[in-house]
Amino acid sequence: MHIDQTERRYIIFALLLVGAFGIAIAISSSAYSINVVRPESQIDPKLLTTPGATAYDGFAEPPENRLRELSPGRYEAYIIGYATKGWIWEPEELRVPAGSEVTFYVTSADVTHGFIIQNTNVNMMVLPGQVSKLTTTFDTPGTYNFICHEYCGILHHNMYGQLIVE
Amino acid sequence: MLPVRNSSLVGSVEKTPSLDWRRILTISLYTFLTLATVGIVSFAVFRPILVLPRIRLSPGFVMSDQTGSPITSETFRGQLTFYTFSYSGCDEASICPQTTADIQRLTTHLETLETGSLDIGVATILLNPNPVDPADLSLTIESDQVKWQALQGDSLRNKYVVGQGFQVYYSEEVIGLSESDRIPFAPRIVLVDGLGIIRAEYRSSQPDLAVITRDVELLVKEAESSGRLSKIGYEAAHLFVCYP
Repeated sequence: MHIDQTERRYIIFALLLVGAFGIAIAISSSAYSINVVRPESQIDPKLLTTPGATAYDGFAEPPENRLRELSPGRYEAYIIGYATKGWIWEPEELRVPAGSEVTFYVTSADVTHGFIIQNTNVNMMVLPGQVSKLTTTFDTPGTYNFICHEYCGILHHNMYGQLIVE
Repeated sequence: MLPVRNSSLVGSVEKTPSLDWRRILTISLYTFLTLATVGIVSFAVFRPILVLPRIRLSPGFVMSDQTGSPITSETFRGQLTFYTFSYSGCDEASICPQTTADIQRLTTHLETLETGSLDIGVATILLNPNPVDPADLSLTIESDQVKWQALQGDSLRNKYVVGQGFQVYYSEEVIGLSESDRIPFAPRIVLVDGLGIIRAEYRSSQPDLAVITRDVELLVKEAESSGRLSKIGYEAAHLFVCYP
């Protein structure tokens, strides 16, 4: 089979790229324990806020208690996206001290949402029935907006909250 | 008229067949890449080896046990350890997320499992704000085969070991008349392997015992398959996320 020389070069280049990415994934996975994003767990969206009904008891706390301090400088936040309550994140505001490491557990009670915190690497798809989890550190004081970036209905553009780093 | 080129006309001159190394190398390379790709995809899809994920390192600690003797995380090296969390006086299921009965249920089940030469133990970290006098400790687990130990430390140490290390939430604001009346916390059981790596987290006080059995069997199998060749297979399983 004849392959043009230019085409052949591009094929080899593409294969080398695939190989390089494979090596990068292998090194980051084995040496640095970096895993690709995957669903944390499954959960019944109808029982999210029922105490003791799911493995994620943080969702059953009142919204003002859904940011919990694990240890000094380390927090976990349980956030639920609602379209049926008027396109909101619950809780809508979180406050942590600068330098805090926060693990976000995010889920949806109704439809598919997207969760992104501006100026950070937190960017997740939020599906009903599934818990998405990501951890990040907030070193710089300021206000970080978290918004829905997957169209979820007529007032999708109103769906945002704030994480305030003090 | 163009000259006719026909090698048969050359007569009896014979050429020694030469190997086309470039072609052989190209075919070998493509064959290797194809086999490697098929092998990797097959391994990831059919998952011939299942492993429990290596979640993160278990925290190091120095605490005291139920007799008041000092105990460190190194004590649990070389054995499978189920870490549970509770507090002295945590007996009523209505107010306590993980009672003595829950821990006893787990321990009794672990007694029935075949672990070969691998020891298995249960450690309960007490969340009481202040260490409880061993004589007043109202939390005891009975077991002949599974070693159970209660661990307790001061308030700050507890917060770092439990909150930061095991990432288990508990409140330092005790609800009730006495300090041990009620301590809100998230029920959790954490499985740590003999190397001190967290391999499973169960976000419930009463996890499915069939899942516990499966996880212990997987860890025992992995520990028994620590030969050079099989170890490569297990490392590949970790790399390709062959998790149950």
